[in-house]
Amino acid sequence: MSVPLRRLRETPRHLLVCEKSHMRHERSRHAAHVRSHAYNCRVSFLIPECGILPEALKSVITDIGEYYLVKNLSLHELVTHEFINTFVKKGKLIISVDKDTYEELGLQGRPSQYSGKKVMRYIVTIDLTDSAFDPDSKKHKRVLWALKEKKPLEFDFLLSWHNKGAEGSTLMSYFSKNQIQAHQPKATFSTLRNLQCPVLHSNELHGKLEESCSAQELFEWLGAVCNKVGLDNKSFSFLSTCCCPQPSTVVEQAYLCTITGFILPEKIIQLLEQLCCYFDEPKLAQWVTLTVHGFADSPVSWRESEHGFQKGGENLYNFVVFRNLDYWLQMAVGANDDCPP
Amino acid sequence: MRCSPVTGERRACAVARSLGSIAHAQSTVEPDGRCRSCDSNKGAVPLFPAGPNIAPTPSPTFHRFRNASQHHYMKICFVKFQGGGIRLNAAHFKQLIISVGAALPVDVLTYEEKTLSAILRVPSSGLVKLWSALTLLGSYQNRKCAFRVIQTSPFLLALSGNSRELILD
Repeated sequence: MSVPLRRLRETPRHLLVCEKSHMRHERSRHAAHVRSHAYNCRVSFLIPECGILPEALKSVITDIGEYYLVKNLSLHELVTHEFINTFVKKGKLIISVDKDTYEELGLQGRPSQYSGKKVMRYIVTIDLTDSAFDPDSKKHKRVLWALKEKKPLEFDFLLSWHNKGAEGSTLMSYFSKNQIQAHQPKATFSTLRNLQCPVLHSNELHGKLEESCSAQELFEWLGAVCNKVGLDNKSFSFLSTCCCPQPSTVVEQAYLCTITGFILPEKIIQLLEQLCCYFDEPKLAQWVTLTVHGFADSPVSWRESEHGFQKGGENLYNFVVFRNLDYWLQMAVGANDDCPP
Repeated sequence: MRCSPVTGERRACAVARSLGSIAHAQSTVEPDGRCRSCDSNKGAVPLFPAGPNIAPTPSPTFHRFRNASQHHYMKICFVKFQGGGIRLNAAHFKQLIISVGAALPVDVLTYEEKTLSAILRVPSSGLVKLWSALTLLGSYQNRKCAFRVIQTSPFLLALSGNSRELILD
């Protein structure tokens, strides 16, 4: 096959990492994975055999917390020590810039991993809590000068703060001069009737012929449910041949909740804990799922891994928690992304 | 719960089922369907047999699936530039996709007639061909139109959470 024809058939690179463990296992890293994925725009959970939202989950959703929109905020405001001392206990400012901006800024960075032979994008990382970034240090003065005078950069920011009960300024009062707006995450609830669900066995991640479905098949099925794709098609159907993976069972009802906004990892951990507590009492459900979508245009995905937002931008993960608290964790990224941890 | 003497299947109170709980379904459901625990008369329903999900996983295990999706998914929208009058039901829409789709096996997973938007599924090896063909369509029934590709991903789940469509009031 000639080279141009071969390129037509090339599949964009993507990766799905599946982890299997137990929620109470000492080496389980479920909380670490959630905490390291900072920028989340959508969380949804599905509970088969459930028609009413449990009270414990309802209260977590109610207390999920506000996020804030600040328009036309100068980037140098985030490197002042007043801001760092008030809101940043430990953290880095990571800026992804094109070549021209990088050269105008004059700050030290590294080429993007995904920029090809001709580097057109750079990543600048500034450790805000490093001792070398103390007030009046050379580094701090350089960064402040670059962002304030050399190449002033202004953006609309979405902000969210995990306030562990600390007193003092809040984001609303700190940015009151910038016309900060508070937003509540939007929650939608629905009960799905007569839903075909794949049969899963927690210790069979790859599935077993005629006994259980694989993690990949579950991941695709969940996508169909969340996008309201009909799954009762036949192989000869004209519109679609997409159907539920087999083996499957039909559940009378399933509860689907979706929360959209800027959601903190700590809140997701609370949701995950409450989904585990759902199985404290005997339940009809064999498993429940929790899906989290990252922002498509975030410069990082997990931890400080560079996230290629120039293409699809997908970076999402999904928990399947079984009755016995075994879990599957599926982490998916598209092209121009590092392998999830 | 009581076992049906004919099938041996386990049956639970239907009220317990709607709450997702089998806690009080441990009591007997009378032949007339009345539950002794909650005194409801919603009848008895089959209970799923207990799965083999009892023994906890001994230690974490990891599996990596590289480029394993056999299909790619596209969220698209059909845009008319010249007035109204074009009505496309699901079958017509599929026919249109087939006519531009370079003879690829495409599934129309969802279709909304009001907004003329759809989610398509195509074999991964045909993604570039289909995307190019959709992009090159310029007219339909002698009227200028175009396909807009809103989102594409190898994961159908990714199409349900697009931050680029996040609207703040």
